Amino acid sequence: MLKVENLTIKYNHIQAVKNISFEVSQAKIVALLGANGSGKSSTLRAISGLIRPSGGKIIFNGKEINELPPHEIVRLGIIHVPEGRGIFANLKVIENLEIAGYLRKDRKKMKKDLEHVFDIFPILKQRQKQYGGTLSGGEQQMLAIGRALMARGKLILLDEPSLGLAPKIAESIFQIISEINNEGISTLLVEQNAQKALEIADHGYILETGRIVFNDSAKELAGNQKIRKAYLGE
Amino acid sequence: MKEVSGKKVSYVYFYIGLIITGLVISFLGRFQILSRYYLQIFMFMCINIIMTVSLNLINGFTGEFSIGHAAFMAIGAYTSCIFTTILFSSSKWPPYYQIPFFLISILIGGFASFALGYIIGLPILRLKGDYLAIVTLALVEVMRSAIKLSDELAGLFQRMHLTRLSQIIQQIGGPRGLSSVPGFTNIFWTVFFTILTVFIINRLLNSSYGRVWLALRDDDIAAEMMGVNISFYKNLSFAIAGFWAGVGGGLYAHILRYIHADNFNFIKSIEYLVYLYLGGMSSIWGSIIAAGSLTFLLELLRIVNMQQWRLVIYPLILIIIMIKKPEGLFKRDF
Ligand SMILES: Nc1ncnc2c1ncn2[C@@H]1O[C@H](COP(=O)(O)OP(=O)(O)O)[C@@H](O)[C@H]1O
Ligand SMILES: [Mg+2]
Repeated sequence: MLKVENLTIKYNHIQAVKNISFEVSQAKIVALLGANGSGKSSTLRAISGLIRPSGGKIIFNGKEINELPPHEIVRLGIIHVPEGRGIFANLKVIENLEIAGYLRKDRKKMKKDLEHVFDIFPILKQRQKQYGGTLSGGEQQMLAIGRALMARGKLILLDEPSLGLAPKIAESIFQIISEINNEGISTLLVEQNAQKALEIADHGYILETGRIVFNDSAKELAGNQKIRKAYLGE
Repeated sequence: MKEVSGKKVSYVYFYIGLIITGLVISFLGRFQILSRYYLQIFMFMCINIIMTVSLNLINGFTGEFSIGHAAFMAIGAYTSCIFTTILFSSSKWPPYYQIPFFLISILIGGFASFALGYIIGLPILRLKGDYLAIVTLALVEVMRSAIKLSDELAGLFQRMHLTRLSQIIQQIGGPRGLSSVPGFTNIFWTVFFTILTVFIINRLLNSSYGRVWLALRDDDIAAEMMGVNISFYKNLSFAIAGFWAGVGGGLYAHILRYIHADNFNFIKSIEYLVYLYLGGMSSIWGSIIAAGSLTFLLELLRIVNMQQWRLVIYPLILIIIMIKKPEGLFKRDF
């Protein structure tokens, strides 16, 4: 579904991502793990078109998307939920959700999708008249994921969804990611919480200063002693 | 365009109030209880409401920072005058031709500003904050100088033997200003266009377009990630605001009956920023009340012959708002 080949990202002279290749297949969760500053967010930004890679190819469903502007990449079904969630603080919860719907062509289905999102996140239904900025961190993360669903994401890029959340809330977010995946939506999950991410992921890549140093099934990675020592804090 | 759920703000009381005030003032004017001067103050109040509400669309609801409103006003004023005054000396026509022609000229002025807003917006709306402010400020000064240099252009066309075109451009007047503009603007038209401006901008804000603008105001990168073509939406808000500023400029020109490039300098832009900040960003009621009342109060300075104090009073107002009420007098609508 998504194929990244020899991706290189530079900020001025600093190479943040060095020639990495990876793949996300249909209906899979792929975890992209690594320490702070290893280039995870930069990789997501390149996929969603917010920054231009200085080398390599990004291919989505057979189409090269490197050169497309972000709004067209969204239209193809790649939705990026950024670090810090990007909630519209002064729009109500319902408006945050609807805005994703406006930009679609099939507005008739919007109501149905909204109900679906409310089924997954009942708390958002309760809070629908509240302003986005007044939600708790966990609720904002749910809203951000709900908005991605409203935009009919086929591939959702999640940047550290558990960041700053209480362990119990983080747990339920991972739960939901897994549920959404069961509906056939692919996920590229960036996390520092490698343990949790590998529990729900099918496949994992580990980045170290811009290079992929491990690449294996989630099970293998979670069982690998070296990785447990280096990344899972054992 | 699609209506959206959520709060709707209605301005019916404003429309009714403005119509009644307009009627009363015209009535008093007709029987010479109020002089033409006071009628003119009322018309300026209306035009400044148009200008401030439209500026609010850019600086308030879309979250950009423009100091360029005087440039849009200038384009609207000059374009409409080119039609009513230079191309067709419509003041000599019978009234039932004049009225529709005046309306069309005002709208053409608006569309010229719309086009300027859209085209200029393409490069400059990539800038943010201070940078956008500086470029829009420059736009005002460039526009003003360009108008002043119209004689040069006329001379150029003269040398190219395009005599007719040269004569027309000559009449824009450059540093002499453009005079003999027919005084078509009256209380009816200023009230009409003020209501139309508030009505349409409010409708837009309550549509899906409005929600996207508000999203841009909150976080434009996040909006882009949700699939918003941000340059299109920013340009659109800039151009629509430009349209109404152009209409305001056209109406203004046809009250003054003489326009000069210096009428549209950056101080004019600052004036609207003061009204906007005093009333409160993203509040249409705020813009209405602040523009209306400040226009009136500052006009009082003219009566007591202290007009030059304006430039002391504007910054003073801004400083007081910043310290005492940084959000402005009115809470925002959205
Ligand atoms: N806008 C930027 N300008 C310059 N350097 C940046 C920018 N964003 C990230 N970087 C650098 O790129 C590297 C990777 O950052 P990032 O992709 O945010 O890593 P991660 O998300 O894995 O923490 C870091 O060294 C960071 O300092
Ligand atoms: Mg990051």
